[in-house]
Formats: sequence, C-alpha cells, structure tokens
Amino acid sequence: MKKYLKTKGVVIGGITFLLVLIALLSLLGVGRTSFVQNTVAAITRPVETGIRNFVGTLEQMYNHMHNYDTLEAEHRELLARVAAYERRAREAEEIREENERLRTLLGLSQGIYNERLVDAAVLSWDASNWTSAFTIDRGEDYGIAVGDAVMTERRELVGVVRQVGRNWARVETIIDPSVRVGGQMGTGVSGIAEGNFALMGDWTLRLSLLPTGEVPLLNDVITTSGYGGVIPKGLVIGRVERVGMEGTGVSYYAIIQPAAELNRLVQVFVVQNVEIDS
Amino acid sequence: MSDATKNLIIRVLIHGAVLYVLYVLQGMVFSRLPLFGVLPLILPLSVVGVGLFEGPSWGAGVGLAAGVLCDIALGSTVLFTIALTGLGMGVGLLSSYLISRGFPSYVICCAAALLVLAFMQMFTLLVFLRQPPLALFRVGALQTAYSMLFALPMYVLTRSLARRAKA
Repeated sequence: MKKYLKTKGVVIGGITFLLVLIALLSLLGVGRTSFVQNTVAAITRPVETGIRNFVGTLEQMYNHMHNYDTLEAEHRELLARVAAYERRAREAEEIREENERLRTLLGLSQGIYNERLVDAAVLSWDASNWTSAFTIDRGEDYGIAVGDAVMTERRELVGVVRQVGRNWARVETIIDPSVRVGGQMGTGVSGIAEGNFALMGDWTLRLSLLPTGEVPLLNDVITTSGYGGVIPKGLVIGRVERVGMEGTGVSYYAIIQPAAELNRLVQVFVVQNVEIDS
Repeated sequence: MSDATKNLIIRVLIHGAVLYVLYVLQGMVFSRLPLFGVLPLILPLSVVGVGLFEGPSWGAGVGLAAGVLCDIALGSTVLFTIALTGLGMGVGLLSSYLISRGFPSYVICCAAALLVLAFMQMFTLLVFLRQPPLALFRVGALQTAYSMLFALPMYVLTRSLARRAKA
C-alpha cells in the first residue's frame, strides 16, 4: 500500500483533485449543471437525438404498416374534435371580449395568469429505478428555469423542471416521490398531490393532507390549486382511481391516475414566468 | 512520440470508447427493456473489472469517467462520480493485495458494489422522503439481480481489454 502510494501518488492526487473539483462545481449551483456535465451532455445529446429519431422512424414505419386502419379512424375522430375545439375557441373569444368590456365597465383589474409556453421534445428517460424523470431538448437558452411546470397540449400536468443545462433540462414527473404539488378536488377542497415510490411502478400518485372528513369522489378530476404561485392554477393532474383512509383514521387520501399519458410523451410545454397581472 | 505514450493514449481511447458504448446501452437500450419493472446498472460492472485487472489507478480513472456518465444517465448530481471512483480504486487495491483476479472475486465484488450503490440510491427516499422501505428494498434487490446477469459478458470484456493493454 505504502509502495503503491509512493509510486502512484501523483495519479491518485490528480484523480482526487478532479473529483473535488467536480463535486464543488456541482454544489455551487443547485439545480444547474456543472461544466463537466454540460460538456459531456453536449457530446451525448446529439447521439440521443439521433437514436430517438431513428427509433421514431422505425415506430412510424411499424405504425404505418400495422395500424393504418386504427390511425385513419383516429385521424377522423381528431378532425371532428379539432372542429369542435375551433368552435369553442370562437365562442371563448367572444366571451373574453365581453368579459373585457364588462371589466372595463366595472373598473376591475385583469387578475389573470400571464404565462409563456416553450414547446420541447422528450429526448430520453432517466435509466433509473428510483426516479421518474426525462430530459427535454430545451434549456437555459430558452429561458427555462428550475421549478417551471411542464404540461401537455391539453393542459395536463406532467411534472416540474429540476435541472437545467444549456440546451436541455431534466423534468421530474408528478409520480416521482420528490414531487409535491397543490391539488384541488372538484368540490374546491385542496390537498397535496405527491408521488409515492410504492405507486410509481403503477404510474399513479396520491392526494394527501385532505381536511378531516372530506371524502374524495371516484373519478373526480383533480386540478392544480395554484398555491405557492409556481405551478399555475387549473392544470389537470388526473382522476381519482381509489380512495382510502390515512393511518391516522381521521382523514382520507386518494390514488390518482394522471391525466397525461406519461409513458407516451413525445412533446411537452414548459410554463414560464407565471405572474399575476394586477 | 514514444511508444509508451502512444500506448497510453490508445489505452485511454479504448477505455473511453467502451465506456461510451456501455453508457448508450445503459441509458438508451436497456432503459427500454425493464425486467420485473426495473432497469439494470451496467457501468459499475466495468469499473469493477478495470479495477480488478488493471489496478487502482486505472480503476479510479475509469471510475471517474463512468461516474460522470452514470450521473448524466441516471439524473443524479455527483453520487456516482464519487462512488464509482472510490469503487474502482477500492477494487484495484483489493486485487493488488488481498483478492485473486478471477471470476469468483469479480462476481463477489460486483454484487457487493451493486448492493452498496442500490442502498446509496435509496438513501434519500428512505431517510428524507420517508418512502415505504419494503418497496425500496424490493427494487434494490431486483436491480442488483438484473445487473448481475451482465457480470459474465462484462468480465470477459474487461479481462480481454486488460490482456490487450498488457500485451
């Protein structure tokens, strides 16, 4: 051992120095990535993108060959839904204009959320058994910051940004054990929607800390409460799948099936700079 | 450039290329092939092999690089960078003074390393986030068992790399 240290002392010293340097750089910016990780990620991301595109092309070819009829039916249904949404959007626009006129008449402030959306593609999922997280192809360059909410095009909550690199960001999904979001039942009662390790494998999460005596209803839609001002209010978390009683025996909890199809995500939207205009 | 320097550069490049291929396999191929709902850890097995056959310096160096790649693939901060550097150096020192450089030693070192890594991965969930221990231990055991399926091919790979380097 002594002989080894005498001959290889410089190598050991060099490796220790590098190790300490990486650890320090990582600790300097919590949530931000170190220079080393950014550099390695910059090299590996193009390969990941290439593999993702290759797999996507293969999947497209497979779908084209085997699911043509299903896709055609789905396409027709989607066209009908788009038409319905367009009609509703026109109606909503009329209502918005009317609302604006009435607010002006009454002298009320706007009081609405001002949000900017950044679209991003899902690059890869963490190959970890302990988290539920994925990497997207947008980062600091697009103004994405730690804590930003991530949702689908249907305003279904997907997760929260936890780590940001120059051209990528890491998103932890709502079923991850470390993610906690204010959740609201249809009745307006609030609780905490949180990931649980035992439920993560089933792609579900839990609504806890409900007031005593409040019983969640099966199939009730749970939305974000907006408390804390980070996650916008009204994003759909999911539906109540099961109801149970907490260990304390005085309050209930609910198991939620997320609205977003987490295992089939391709594109997501990062919600930035949520502020309330006053 | 001397032959020794040239050989050193080639050896570093080969190790780098092998690590990168293993990183792609772990992060992009096996991440789509779960067994009983869990994914394997492959990079630590190569670090054990390099430490066992090439000594503590190479073990630590390869462990450092593998650790950075593992942290990126698994989304952790510096956990694997520190753990795998220590693992490579530790196994290298053990093989220099205490244990033989054979398959049984390799398997025992891999199993021990994977169990320790699983415990390190579950530590925050167990202690700070108070997640159900049984579910955590089950995933830790399955992750170790699934990863051990790769012990034989990784043993053959790292041993042949070491033999090539010595030749």
